[in-house]
Amino acid sequence: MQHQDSIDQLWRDRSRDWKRTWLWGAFAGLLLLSCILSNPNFDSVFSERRITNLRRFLSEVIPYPIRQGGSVSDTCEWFFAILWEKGFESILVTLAVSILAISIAGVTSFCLSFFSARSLCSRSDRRFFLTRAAGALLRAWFMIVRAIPEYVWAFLAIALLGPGAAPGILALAIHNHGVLGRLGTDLLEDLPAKEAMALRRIGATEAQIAVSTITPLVSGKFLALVLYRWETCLREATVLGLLGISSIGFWVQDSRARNRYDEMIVFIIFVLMIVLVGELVSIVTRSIIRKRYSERIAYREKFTGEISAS
Amino acid sequence: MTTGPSGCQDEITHFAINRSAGYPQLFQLLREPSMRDSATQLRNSVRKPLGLVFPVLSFFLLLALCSWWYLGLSISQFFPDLNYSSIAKEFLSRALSPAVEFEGEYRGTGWDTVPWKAAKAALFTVQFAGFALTLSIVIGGVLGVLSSQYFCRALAGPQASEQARWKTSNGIVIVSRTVAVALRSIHELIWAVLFLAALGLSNLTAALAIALPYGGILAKVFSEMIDESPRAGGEAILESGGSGLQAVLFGIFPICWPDIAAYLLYRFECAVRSSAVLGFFGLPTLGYYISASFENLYYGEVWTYLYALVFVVALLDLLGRNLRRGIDCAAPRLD
Repeated sequence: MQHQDSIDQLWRDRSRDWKRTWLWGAFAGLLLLSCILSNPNFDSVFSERRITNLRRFLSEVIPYPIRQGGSVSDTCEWFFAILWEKGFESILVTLAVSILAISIAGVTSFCLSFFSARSLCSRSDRRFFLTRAAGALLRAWFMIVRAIPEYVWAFLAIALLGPGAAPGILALAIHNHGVLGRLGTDLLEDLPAKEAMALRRIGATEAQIAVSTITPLVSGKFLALVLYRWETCLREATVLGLLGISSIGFWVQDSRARNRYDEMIVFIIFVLMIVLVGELVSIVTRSIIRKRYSERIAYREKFTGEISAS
Repeated sequence: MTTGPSGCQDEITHFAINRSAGYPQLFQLLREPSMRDSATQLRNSVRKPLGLVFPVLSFFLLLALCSWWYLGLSISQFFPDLNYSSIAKEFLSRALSPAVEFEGEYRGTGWDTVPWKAAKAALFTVQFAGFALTLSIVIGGVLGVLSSQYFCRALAGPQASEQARWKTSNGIVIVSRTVAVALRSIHELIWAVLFLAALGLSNLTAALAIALPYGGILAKVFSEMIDESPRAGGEAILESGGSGLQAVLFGIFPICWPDIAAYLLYRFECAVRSSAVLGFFGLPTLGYYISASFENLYYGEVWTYLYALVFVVALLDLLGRNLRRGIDCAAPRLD
């Protein structure tokens, strides 16, 4: 081939970053090591006993009416009976818990993330030491609260507060407060600095800048983040039922404990339905926002483009 | 200075940078008739993006109020009653003094203390999370490539007509996207309950319980990245006779690997948290020791294990952030 030499030269001259290669190689090696150490005993999973277990399980998954020799309409009746008695209430409880949790988390983290964003709270003046220290403490707080999974928070909250929906809401709200705080901090730190800088030079205080300029810029994106987290909140709210709250997870655990695997599958289908509803809501909201703002966003982009060009 | 929106911006920017001017001069500028239209336009363009936020916010708050009423809550339910509940008082009082020695009758010798046990459990949690993540990369990689429009169109070959490509692609894409959605909609704990009932919980089944939903999520992320990347490299490979798989692996993947790697680091942190939670079901990770110590009422040990969990996740987060700064990725939306 006539160009083989130049191709070889390109390959030899490629940019190589040894530190990056070593780091990612170490990450991949650690993953491989963890696979080996975890000793996945493939034989034991497909042993005789487990296969018979699996066969028994699959036979019990077939809905009860069909096993008794009924028809498809009997199965539908049975399905809707479950939906009416247990499904509706637990679906509504799941939705309510997730909405309350994300509202509390959204409001509190929005207020606090202004104080933890490095671009708003750290300057080299000496009198800003307290603000910087508070910002670092807040970032550490968001980190700690985010590190404990929602299930563990809910376990502790239910043990301390007693059973009911309130500990579940508190647990979800605390964890998502940490998550949204971290996301909001990143959002505030990535804002273009031109507007804030211009206002600072005129002499506005930090609070004035935050309320007048930054809040409008950021609230749209923060709301999008809240909607995104709401979907995760919905999934977690279904699972918190495993701890005793009367959401769908409670009925999943309940039917598993009674060995009624057909009902368990029905409740898992309800979980699927809830999550799909959540995704639908967020897709619809996002398309509405995008449609209304496409022109205005284009107009603003033209402005910021000209500011940065001048 | 030109008039119109850009002219107005020039004036104001020039004015703001020139620090010797003060407020009165700014207002003077804005009151001039030639500036008025552009000033109004500037003001409108700054105000209106806030327009839809208040309706959505009030809708959400209305829903929250309805939920509050539906659940029949009251503020007192959110705070532990310290007079009535001794569990709350004892638990919260041990927050600053986590256990170093075992609180039961067991007395370890030498290294055998609670922090050492917490460290070993944390190490097992991280190792198990790596295993689950590897499985999920395999599942997610296959599903993601299959559910990307680009790969399925390329499957028909470079000489195929547009219609032939559309026919092959749509079926595969729809089926694999449905599978990915079904996999990722079910929470990993519910998968764990399902596997508990069907297969019994072992290392492999517990890892699969985490890997299946994570594989679905990774499939969605991979397919989006493949479809939204610049296609020049892939087209070149297809035209010189490569297959669709080669086009994706060697043409598109090198462009988007920083984003994929950053997202994988974030997923690893999530996997560590999920495997800690699977401990509540019996897997010997941190969650197992947390629940066991709590049910034995050894609150100091619970705090030790909690601090170990926070430490591990915080360490992984810092490592991830440093690694992400080293590679050149678009600011990923991570939580």
